[in-house]
Parts: sequence; C-alpha cells; structure tokens
Amino acid sequence: MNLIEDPGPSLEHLERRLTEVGPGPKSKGLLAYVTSTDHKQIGINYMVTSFIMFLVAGLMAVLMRVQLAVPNNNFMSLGTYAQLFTMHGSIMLFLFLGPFGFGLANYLVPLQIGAPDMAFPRFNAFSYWLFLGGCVTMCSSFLSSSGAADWGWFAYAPLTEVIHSPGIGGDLWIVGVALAGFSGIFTAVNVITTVFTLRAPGMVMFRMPIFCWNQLVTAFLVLLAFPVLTAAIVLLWADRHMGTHFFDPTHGGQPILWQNLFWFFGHPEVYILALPFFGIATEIIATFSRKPVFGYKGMVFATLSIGGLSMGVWAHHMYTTGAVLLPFFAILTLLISVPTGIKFFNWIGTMFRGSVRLESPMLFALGFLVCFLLGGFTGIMLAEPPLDFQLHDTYFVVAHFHYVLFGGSVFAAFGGIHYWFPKFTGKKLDERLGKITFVIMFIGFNLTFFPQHDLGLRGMQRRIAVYPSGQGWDFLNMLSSIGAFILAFSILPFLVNVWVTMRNGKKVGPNPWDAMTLEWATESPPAEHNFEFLPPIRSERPVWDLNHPEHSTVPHGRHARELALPSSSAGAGAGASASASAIAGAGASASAGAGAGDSGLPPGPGPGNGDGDGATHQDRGDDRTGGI
Amino acid sequence: MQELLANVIHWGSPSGATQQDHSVLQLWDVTYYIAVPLGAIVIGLIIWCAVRYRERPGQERIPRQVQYHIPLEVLYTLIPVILVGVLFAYTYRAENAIDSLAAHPAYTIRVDAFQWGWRFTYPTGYEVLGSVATEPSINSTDLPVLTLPAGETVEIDLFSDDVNHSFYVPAFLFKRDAIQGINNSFDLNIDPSVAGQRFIGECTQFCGVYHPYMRFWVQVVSENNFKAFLSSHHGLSTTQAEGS
Amino acid sequence: MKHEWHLALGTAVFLGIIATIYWAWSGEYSGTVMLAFGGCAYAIMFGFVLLQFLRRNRIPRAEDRSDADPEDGEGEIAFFPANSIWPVAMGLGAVSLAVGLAFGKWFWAIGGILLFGAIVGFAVEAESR
Repeated sequence: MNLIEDPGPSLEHLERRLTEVGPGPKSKGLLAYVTSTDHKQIGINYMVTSFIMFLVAGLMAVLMRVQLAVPNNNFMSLGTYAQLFTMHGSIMLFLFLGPFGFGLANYLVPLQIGAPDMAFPRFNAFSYWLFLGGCVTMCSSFLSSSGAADWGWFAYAPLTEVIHSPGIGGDLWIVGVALAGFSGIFTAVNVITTVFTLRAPGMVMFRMPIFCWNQLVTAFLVLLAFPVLTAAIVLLWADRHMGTHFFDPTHGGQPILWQNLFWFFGHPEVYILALPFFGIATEIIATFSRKPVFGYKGMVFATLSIGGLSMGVWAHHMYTTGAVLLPFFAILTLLISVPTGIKFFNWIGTMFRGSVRLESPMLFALGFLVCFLLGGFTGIMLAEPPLDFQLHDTYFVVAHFHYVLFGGSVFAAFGGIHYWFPKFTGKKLDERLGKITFVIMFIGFNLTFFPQHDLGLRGMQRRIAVYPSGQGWDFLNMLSSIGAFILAFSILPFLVNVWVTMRNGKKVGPNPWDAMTLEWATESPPAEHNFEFLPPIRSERPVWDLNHPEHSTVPHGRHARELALPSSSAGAGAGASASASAIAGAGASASAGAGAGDSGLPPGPGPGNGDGDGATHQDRGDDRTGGI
Repeated sequence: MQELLANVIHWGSPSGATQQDHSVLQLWDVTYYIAVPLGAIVIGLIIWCAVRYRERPGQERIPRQVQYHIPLEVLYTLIPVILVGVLFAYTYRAENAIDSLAAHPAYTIRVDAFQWGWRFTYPTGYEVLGSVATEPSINSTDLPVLTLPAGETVEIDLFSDDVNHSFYVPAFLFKRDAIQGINNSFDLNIDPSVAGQRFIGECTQFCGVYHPYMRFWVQVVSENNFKAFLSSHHGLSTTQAEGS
Repeated sequence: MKHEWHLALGTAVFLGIIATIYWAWSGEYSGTVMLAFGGCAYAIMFGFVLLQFLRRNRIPRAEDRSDADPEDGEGEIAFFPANSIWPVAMGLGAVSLAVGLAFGKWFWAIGGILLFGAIVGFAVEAESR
C-alpha cells in the first residue's frame, strides 16, 4: 500500500463522541475572527504574530551585524546599538519563542489529547490579546523621544534605576514584559487544566504524546517563573517611579537582589523556550522514522528532570558576581546534561533501524539535533565557574545561547511549521523550497555563530557597539556578519513557500505524513470542536494503531482491550482482519480488568507485561512489542 | 607537540599568565577531551542513522517497532552521571584555587569602576584615573594603566561607583563584577615569565553608552620594578584622560 | 487523577528539598524564599487535585482508564462558548490599564472602565448559558 499518500481507513465506523457547544451567534468576517475563542484560531494568531516579531527582531540582528562587520565602524550610534541589542533579545525571548510555543500548545494540545477545545476558551482568547498588547507596547517604545529600552534584555539594576535610565522607553519595556508575562501565565493555567481534565477516554497520562508532556512541564515552569519576573518588574517600577530603593545601592538597596530575582525567572524561561521544541523534535523524529518514540517513559522522566533541575540553577548566570554559592549551582547545572543526554539517545534510538524519510520537517529536526548538541556542550563549559570566569559576558556565551535557542528551538520550530502546516491549512508546503530553506538556514546559522565561540575565547566582550582593530577579532566578525546575511536570506524561500502554498497548494487529507498521534485523526484543518469521531485509544499512537494494526504495539494483558476493527475496514492492509481476530481471540480470555486504580499503565510494555495473566497472543510476523 | 595540541584545543584563547590559570586550562582540557569525543560519537550516530536507514522513494517499509531497551537506557543514564562527577571534581578544585584569598597578600590594590573609566589606587595612596573623554576613539591606546608585580600575591579589591561593571583581563582568563556596595576581592599570582608584558583589560558588563570604551592596560613588571614604581609614586593623584 | 496529584506533589516536594539544601548550604535569602514559595504553590495544587481525586471516591474517569472506549466519554463535557466579544474587550481594557502606567494615570480611566465592564460581561455570559 502507498504509505505516504494513504490517509488511513475511513473513520465512519468508529464511535461518535458528543460534545455540547455553548451559545453564541455565528458572526462573520472580521468580527468572527476577533471574537473567536477557538483554540485553533488563537493558536494561529499566536504563531503568526510571534513570527512577525521574529522577523522584526531578526532585522535588528542583521543591523547589529552590519555595525560589527568591521572594526571601529560608525554605521550606527552607540545608543542605537544598545537599543537594538536590548530589543532584539527582549522581542526574541518574550514575544517570539515563548508565544510561538504557546501558540503550538494552543493548537495541538487539545487535538493530541482528543479534547474539543482548551479548558477556558474565552480566557485563552484574552491571553492572546494581552500578548498582542505586549507586542505593540514593546515595539512602540522605539517611537518615544528617548528611544526604546537600552539596558540589555536582563535589565540589570542599578542601570535600570531612573537616574541612569530615565525615559519612557524603559517603562514601556516593563509594561510590555508584564503583559507578555501575564499572557503566558494564563496560557499555562489553561494548558495544565486542559491536560488534567479534558483528555479523551483511554488517553491516560502515560499515553499522551511527548509533545503534550513537554508542554505540560513547560506550563509548570511558567507558573513558577513568570510570577517572580512580574514581582521583580513591579519592584523595579516602584524604584523608578515611587521612590523606593529595592535595587538602589545608594540607599541600602541590593543590585544583586535584582539579579537573583531575574535569573530565578530567567533560567526556567530558557527551558520554557526549549522544552516545547524538544517535543516538536520528538514528534517529527518518530513520524519520519516510522517507529514509536524510543524509551517513552525515559523521555517523560527526562523532561520532568530537566524542568525540576532548571529551577535550581539560576545563579549560574551570576558566577562572576562573587556573591553566589558556586558549587551548588555548578553541580546542578552539570546534572541537567544527564536528562538532556537521555533525550538525545532516545531520539537516536527512535531513528535507529527505522525507515528515515529525509523530508523537510525531518531535516529541520536533524539540524536541531546537531546544533543543540553543540550548544549543550558549550553550556557544560559555561556551567563550570572557572571557565565561566573567563567566558562570561563574552561572545562565547552569545554563541552558546544562539546555538541552543536558534540552532535548537528555532530549527525545531521551522520543522514543526513544515510538519503541521498541512494540518493547520489543509495544504502541504512545497518540499523543494523547504529543503532549500533548510540548507541555506543551516549554512547561514553556523557561519554566523560558530566563529563567535572563538571571538569569545579571544576576549571580545558582549554588547559592545564598536571594537578596535588589531585585537585579532576582525576576520571572525566579518565571517559572522556574512553568515548573518545568509541566515536572513534563508527566510525568503520560506516566505515564498508559504505564499505559494496558500495560493496554489494541493489539498491533503487528514494524515499526509502517515503520522501517529491523535491530531492526524481528524480533517485538515480540523472542524470546529475538532473530532466528529474518535478512534479508540490504546497506546500513545492511536492513529498508527488504527492505520497499521499489524505493526501496532498495543500490549496484551490484563488492562488492554482489543481494537474493535470490523473486517471490512479499508486500507488497513491484508493482514488486518487476521490480526484483528487474533487480537480479539487473545483479548477474550483477558480479564475485564476492574480498572482498579491502574490508570497509568504505560503503553510500552515493561518487562513482564504481556505475560501477566496467561492470555495467549499470536506472533505478528516480524514485529514484536518491546525491546530488542 | 604538547604545545601544538594545546594551541589547537584552546582555539584563540590566551594561554594564561597567572598561577590560577593553570587550573583553568586544566579544567578546559578535561572538559574538552570529554565533550569532543562524546559529541563526535553522538553526531556520528545521528548522521549514521540518517544515512544508513534512509528510506528511498519507492522503498517504503515499516521497520520493527522497537520501543525500549532497559539495559541500554540505564547505561546512557549512568555514564553521563559519572562524567558529570568527574567534571565536577575538577571544577571544584579549580574553583577553590581561583577563589581563595591569601591571608596576607603581598600587595593590595583598589580598583574602582565607574561610568566610564577606571581608578586604580595603590598601597601608597597613588591613584591612576582614566576616563573616557567626550570624543573617544575605540582605537586609542591612551588608556589608564594598572601596574602589577609578577611572582607575588596581589589582592585586588574591586568596587563600583555607580552601575554594574566587570573587570576582565583576557590574558588572565579571569573577570569579576564590580557592583556598588560590594567589595569583590580576588587574588592574582602573575607568572614571572610574563614580566614586562602589557595586556589589555575590558569592561564586560554593559554599563551604559560608553561601555565599549572602558578599557585599560595591565602592565606586568618584575617585583623589583614594582617596588621602585611604588616608591616613586606615592600620595599623588594623577588624572589621565583617555582618547581624544 | 492519580498521576495529576503525583506530578503536583512531586514538584512541591522537589522544590522543598532544593530549598532546604540551598538554605542549609548558602544561607541566601532570596533564592530560598523563591524556591520555598514555589513549593508551597505546588503544594496547594497538590492539595486541590488530591481533594478532587478523593471526592470522586477513586473511580477512574474515562480518561484515566486504559481500557476506556470513545463512547465512555459521551455526554456533556464542559461549556465551550463560541464567539464572544468579552475576551477582546477585556484585552483592550487590561492593555490600556497597563499602558497607562507609562502614558499617565489619566489613561487608567479608559482602561479601568473597559476592563471592569468587560469582566462583568464575561462573567454574565457564563451565567446566562
């Protein structure tokens, strides 16, 4: 059978799931769009708005690289450069990567768990409008007379005190961050509630896709981190406008307090910016290797560990202050590499002996793997205080975080866009343009940021608008600036791709990639309230089980029931009916299972599962569930 | 040969000029020798999987649906933990070597950072002040000079007059932040082999508009020359304007 | 609901342990307070979810049973309102209020009225279903 184009058997024979729809008039046009509470529309809103912010902040970066291309350059003034690096960082982190992740969560989490919408649809819409307000506020600060905030994205006190940075640009920055922060907090509340209360029947926690687990842990982190940021900026506001002296050392305040508060938020923030994208990579790698996620439980454990540990490492951004407990933070930071390593080996294990399709989503996922690995290793170097004493606040750190945030999260984001575009719009992006985008982006990205490692080792500090000649920095800066232009250029084939596809793209069915999770069981794009019919959920890959029952890994045993496929189902493959009856035969002798509290049975059989109650099961050809 | 290897794996980094640097470079080497082979293996595996198991069009197949392998998963959980332990051991040792303060340093020098320049105060009370003039040039070499003796323990007491700055000498592979209200003290034991050399120093914490211009020289002299320097410079304040 | 309260409890306990170790080792106030408060927050979540779990007398919901079928989830799930003007009105109000911090307190008049009205509308809409 044609595995690529076949959308799977028809869904009509499956059970219907009823939902009740709330009251409300069916409005049309702009009003319908603005008043929509549909999680899919809101997800699209987040993703489009945040992508525009990406382009805006990317332009700022290109301008900065023009300034730094040659030594002693006077392309722009020092003050302008300071505004650019502040806003580039702030927009990328607060207004692009985070909200893009929230947008994907909004669109996909309900679909992947079989829910009709998020738990609080109107509140969800409100979160989006707060985010949009934050974008407008932050960007409008450029128009103020003193320009945008120019104190760096982490806004260290006392530089942010009103005597050093008067001017409304900074205040608008604070307001923008507050709005984006509240938007994130409210989204996290929605995600957690949705995951806890709106899963479909049979979708136990340990059958959720890894993407959903990652979004859940991200939401947990948001609830811990963003309120601290909000508190910190409230205190900053009070210092600036209400005459308090929390961070003002001339009156007994503590600049270090700002750093502690900020980084207690700041470190979980970068994991908030990474975890959803790890989830994207997991989904793509599994689908495009035609295999289940390797080590599902290990992945869940690793995600939880990364989330937990990330709360305890904030002061590794403050090693050079001389005011933090170095060994505590060093050991915890080093330890984060362990669950990250587990994830990497599980990703490799998913691909290993799979059938790897190198289409554009997978290419972006591979790019993610390579670049995030490099970024992770430079992170280990920076985790060690003695090395950090040399490298802190140099271009080595800039290279590190761009490797993990761009090479990691942004590559995965592009992979996710190419992967889920057919689901969002009903049309598949052009494959050739996708590959061109990837190749140019990969080359441009590495050319921009790899030289910056050496620049940092050679002593070039961060956040300098101009540097002298004769330091040995000239050639590397030139390389980096050329790379930045290549990287910027790589966005063009992508934009062309989107434009051309939206206009002339071929319509695809529910599952053009032969993917595995529940969002692929409904139309592209999904109807209002998502699912007219839901397949039975017996593993973390319900759609795979439905389409490829002979290759399914649904365990037999006490708590599994057979997939009720009638023998006339189309497209399920020749062996399907035989397998179905074999499974039915095995299941009949299985005890019904009183559901005695064992709601968390993992899909992948642990050792010993399948032998439990002596139920017989037929060998299904060359597929076996479980281990090697 | 060893020096050649060191030059390669240290990339463009200076090769260190203080006693504390020995532990820094050792830690870099250990980390590098663990990270690079491990990274090569992982990237190699990724590329191997992408190439070897590539599905060519027209050859679609569904592979064996392997989901776990407990012994392997345990192995690649434990081995990183052991590696982390090794790295932490070296880290802890190096950290203590760098951060420890001698009870009786030979000399104590006070460094004040301010927007936008440096003030160095020697034990005799002699002060060197250098700040950015109104029209600075980034290429200017007329920077305030911090004279330091080699072969002795020098304690630097670092202060800030206003916002956060950072005292960074790339050649010493070391920096420390200057924060108002905090006296950040650290020791430098400069190798006698670099006596007579001049190194650049930078501010690495963004501190406002003229942050890039907050540079200074570190002039290393032999101990005798330093004693001479001190005896001929005492109690006087000199101001040195930078740039223009 | 078992896994849900496990997650919340695990988070709370983990943060509590880290806070204790951090306090004992460093004696630093701000980090300890932030970690401890985070632990308390998740302890509250744990308490609430556990309460829900116990209140249902431990009967698993359809989504907690690994052998549940789609028809087990039939029936009304929750209130999913279709289009609603109140979120965007609340958004405008909240953003105006926030921006008033920078523009000037006079802007709070606009934002406050909008936000207050929108919150009332939001709440009433839920009531009137």
